[in-house]
Amino acid sequence: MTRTADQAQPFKALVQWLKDALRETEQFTLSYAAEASEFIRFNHAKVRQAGQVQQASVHFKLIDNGRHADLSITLSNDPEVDRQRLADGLQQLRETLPLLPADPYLMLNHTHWQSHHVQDQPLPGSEQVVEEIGRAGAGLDLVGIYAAGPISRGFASSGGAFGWHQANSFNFDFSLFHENGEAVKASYAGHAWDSQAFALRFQQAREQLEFLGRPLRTLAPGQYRAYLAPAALEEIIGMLAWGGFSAQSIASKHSPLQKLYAGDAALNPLVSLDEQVSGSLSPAFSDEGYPRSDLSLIAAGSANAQLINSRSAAEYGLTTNGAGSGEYPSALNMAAGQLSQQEILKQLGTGLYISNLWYLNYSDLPAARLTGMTRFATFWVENGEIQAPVSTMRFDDSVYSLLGSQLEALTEQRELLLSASTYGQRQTASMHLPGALVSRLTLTL
Amino acid sequence: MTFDPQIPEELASYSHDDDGTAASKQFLIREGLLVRPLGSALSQYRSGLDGVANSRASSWNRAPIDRMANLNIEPGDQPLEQMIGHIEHGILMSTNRSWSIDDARNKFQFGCEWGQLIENGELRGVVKNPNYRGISAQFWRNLSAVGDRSTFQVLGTPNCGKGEPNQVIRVGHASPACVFSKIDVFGGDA
Repeated sequence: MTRTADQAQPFKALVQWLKDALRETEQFTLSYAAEASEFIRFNHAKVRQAGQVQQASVHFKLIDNGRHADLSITLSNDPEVDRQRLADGLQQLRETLPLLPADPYLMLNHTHWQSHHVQDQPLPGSEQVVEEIGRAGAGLDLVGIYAAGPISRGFASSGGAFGWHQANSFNFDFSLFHENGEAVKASYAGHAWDSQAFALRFQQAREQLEFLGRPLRTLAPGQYRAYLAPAALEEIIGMLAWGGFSAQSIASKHSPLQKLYAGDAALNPLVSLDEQVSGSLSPAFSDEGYPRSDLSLIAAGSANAQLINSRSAAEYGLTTNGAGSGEYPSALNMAAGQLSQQEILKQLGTGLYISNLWYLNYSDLPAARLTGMTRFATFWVENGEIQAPVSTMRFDDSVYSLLGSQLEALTEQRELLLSASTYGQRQTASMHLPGALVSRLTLTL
Repeated sequence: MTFDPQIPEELASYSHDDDGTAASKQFLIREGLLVRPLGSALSQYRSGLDGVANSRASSWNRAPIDRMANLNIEPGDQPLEQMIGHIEHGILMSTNRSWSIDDARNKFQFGCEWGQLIENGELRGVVKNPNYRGISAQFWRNLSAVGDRSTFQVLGTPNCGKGEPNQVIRVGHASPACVFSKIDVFGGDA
């Protein structure tokens, strides 16, 4: 499936119509999201369910004399119908605005910034993908989902700002189950499907599956040395992304990293974390209309920049740096360490090799203490050699320990992990992370 | 424990599921025994088991799948004061803020924002951030009292996630207050 047409034209037409329809004191922002996605779900390495979703919508904010109101409009891809829906929306917002008070925290960007990014790398046909997955998984209990197609994001304002982001991508997120119920989880994602790279990724998962056939080791609760593979670390960093760097959360003391940002706690000097927008898969502009820039969030274990959107800037006297309405990072990049892939098991010595973590949540948010499960491909290692898979265990530990006092090393090789999230729409977030060797991980159950 | 799509104010009440199957109240667990699992028409056909009308889609752009809907605990026979009065040492858990459970729904941990200490049958002061964890089968076997209808509250969440492609959906949980014994409780520094 390949769609390379310039999808910006229908959006530009709506923007132009809106500019012409505007009254003298009115302003607007219009953000756009669209995708043409193919979803193929696999059971037992065979297609269980296949479908396509084409959707497009705009989020429309009308501003007049400090008052503003928003609505979302589903687009039909018929120019006349969509123009009428926008006209109806404009009328509805005009009727709503007089009922609202002025917003003291409204801060519009009046610059005429322009941003344009189109990546139209052809994607493979679904027949090819299904054939390769079926061949690789023949005889295996493979479950997973392949999601692929173009994603578009746009932004325009009455002030003349315009941003367009369009990219083709695919993400095959899968698990291989052993007959004993244990599973390996892996993914193959990107812009260009490479049959050899996919086969290699699949082979790595298959090799881990063989270890899962050994008798399960049941561990007692306690403290263990552990290696967290990049996909496991992604779960931990993903929890920190949930308000951790948000200026609003930090100011209102809801951030799990409030102690770090207050200077009352530090992470290990090995830890440096950037929001690396440039060259990433996410748009270079926010949904509220500010260009995004690269930011150092944590430098050598200490807090650095926060993610500040315009409302937080207005409320807390800060300067916005292009964060979106939720102040979430979407292109996190963690500095690599010096531990080579070949040395991971040797340096771990005796302890846990954890490929993935699952269902994390906070046990104590102000202390950045997390709980969650080992789920996929967690192994007991002795003297640098994998001995046995470990039955599912719950951990409960603080980020200030795991990425602070107990962090021994980060790997020199990092993995680019593309978000497989498809809530509402396919996401464009990513993380570029190393693996982490920790001297103490607390298992509780 | 029931699947009950007929409580008007509960988040996932409906007359038919998204396959068009008529929805009605069904006991899933009765007197401690599993009598019927969740599972819509297709799952019932594939498994040969009875089920409920719980095939649901989050929106037009997602296919219906088996979901929780309203999953409730039926009221028992004790008022809250009586249940608290029988507790020598315990915690009244309130305002859940954190949840985590493994894929087999076995080892769980929940965190509350606020609770109250119970000493010798009386409430004594505030407990901040009390957490509890356990193993599901043991936990439910340690259920020692179920509150009456005066303790029954209709709750739920508007954003329960599941499925591939992902779907977020409303689920309802109505429950009376319950007493569990031998629960591993811990706080901020445990």
